[in-house]
Amino acid sequence: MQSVIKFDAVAKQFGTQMALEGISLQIPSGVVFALLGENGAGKTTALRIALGLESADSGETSVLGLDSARQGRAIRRRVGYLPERPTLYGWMTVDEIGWFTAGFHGPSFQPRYGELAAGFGLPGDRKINALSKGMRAKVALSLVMANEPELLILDEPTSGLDTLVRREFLQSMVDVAATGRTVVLSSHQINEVERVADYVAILHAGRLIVVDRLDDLKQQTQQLTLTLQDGATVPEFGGEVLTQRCSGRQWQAVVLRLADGELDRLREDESVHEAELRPLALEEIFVAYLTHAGQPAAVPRAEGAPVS
Amino acid sequence: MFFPIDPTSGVAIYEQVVRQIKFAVAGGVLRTGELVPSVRELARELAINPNTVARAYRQLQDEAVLRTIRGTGLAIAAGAVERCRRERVRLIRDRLRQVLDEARNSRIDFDDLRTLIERELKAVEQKEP
Amino acid sequence: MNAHGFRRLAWKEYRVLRPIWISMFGITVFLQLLMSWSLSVLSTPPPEAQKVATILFGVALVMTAMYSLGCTAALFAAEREEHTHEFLCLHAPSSRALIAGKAAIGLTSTVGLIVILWLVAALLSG
Repeated sequence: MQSVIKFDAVAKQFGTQMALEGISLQIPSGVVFALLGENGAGKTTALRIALGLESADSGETSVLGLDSARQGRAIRRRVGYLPERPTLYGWMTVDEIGWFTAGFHGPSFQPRYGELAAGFGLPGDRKINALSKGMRAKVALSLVMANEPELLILDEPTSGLDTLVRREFLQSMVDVAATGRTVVLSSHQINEVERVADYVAILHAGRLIVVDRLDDLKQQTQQLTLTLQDGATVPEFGGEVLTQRCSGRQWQAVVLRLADGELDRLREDESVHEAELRPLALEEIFVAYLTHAGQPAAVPRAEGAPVS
Repeated sequence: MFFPIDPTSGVAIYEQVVRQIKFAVAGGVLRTGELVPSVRELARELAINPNTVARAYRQLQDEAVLRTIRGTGLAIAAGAVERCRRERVRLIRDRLRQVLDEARNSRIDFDDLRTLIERELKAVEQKEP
Repeated sequence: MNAHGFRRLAWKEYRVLRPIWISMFGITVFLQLLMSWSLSVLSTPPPEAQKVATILFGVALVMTAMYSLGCTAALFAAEREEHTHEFLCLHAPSSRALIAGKAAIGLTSTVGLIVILWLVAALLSG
């Protein structure tokens, strides 16, 4: 699978703050790739570097085979990018901004924009300033999708929008993915990501702590609860502990890649009274990874291994 | 087709789609020969990844619940209803096994368990389906 | 696309400058009327047409100069203010078309303004 975006040891510093600490990542084509992370984790910086809107301090970035540092404009023409707070000309009407933007793209732009705007129920002759936040977001999305780009990059597209509008945005993303095009999505809305993502990458304090297929991540990350016998300690088992906590005789942990048969073995262990394994929602997995990464002795896992 | 998808439930989304379609077939909501929505339509309606729908459809085809109608799409295969009903029984059996395993792990006395099961069974028999 | 792009960009600058141009035009004509009225009423004997014309032309020139300054500010600073330059970054292909659009409208509107104001001045001074 060829990659649509490739980061190679990319680092960026803002003043004294390391926004990105040497991340390496390859995003394959034709998938929905979600970038998760807290505010300030470096998601927007990474995307802007890819688009040539910021320059990296070191490393190489390429999009669709083009070098981000030198061919940023060419990249931006082929890629649809919806920034977190899209700026529009408020004094233009919905139709006018479509006509205006069509001047910089091919002949199919305007009709396609018209279709999308109509699909979203946007009134053509209303000034953008007079639209609600949700409708303005839909205008911005229509402008970005009208070009039918092979790669769509959305930075927090649904933040601050109501549920119905968010659902419409998700459906648009699904439509783009269904045609085989790539969608890269940076988001806080973990429940939305859980529905539509093929791959998930977690960024924390400028470092990539996990990159994996969503299905695999959910299969391999589980919650293990052991109820121990009086005075017993947690026995060894095959699997990595991400986070753990105790309460009385109960010990609970988020474990990675628990080996086959380990659960039964634990149940038969004399120091264990009861053992329970539970799957986790993406949000809980996210929290566990972040907590693990935040611990002082933490060693980052699967740091930016190329996705294949 | 209306059914809820819970991405946080611990059952993979594609598996939820597979089950829901099988339930619909077993319950007569989807009949033999009836077309299912295209991958794109269903993905859009449920707001889930189209690859997930594709995967579910592939599994349903492998299990002979769906079959291709060239040029049109996927439809419920002949004999699917029977298969899905049997599957539903199998699912109930698996869930019963889970409950019984849990009972065993909680070290409930087996005689107490048997009495409990018989009582519940009786109560359910008397209820309307 | 270059021709289309330029046309759209020029249209945008025209829409941005239009209210400024109209107000400037309105204010200047008002000033010219005021001046010509006060000159003919307040000074005796009434000054000759040539002198009035010069004063009115002068007013037109000064106001147009101010307009061209304001115009430059509106064309270049406003974009950054509203962050719409980011929008352009993502869509407009060349800074050449962008600058050309601004320059074209800036220039034509300035020239247009001075020409019309001088015509008004000529009319008022007879």
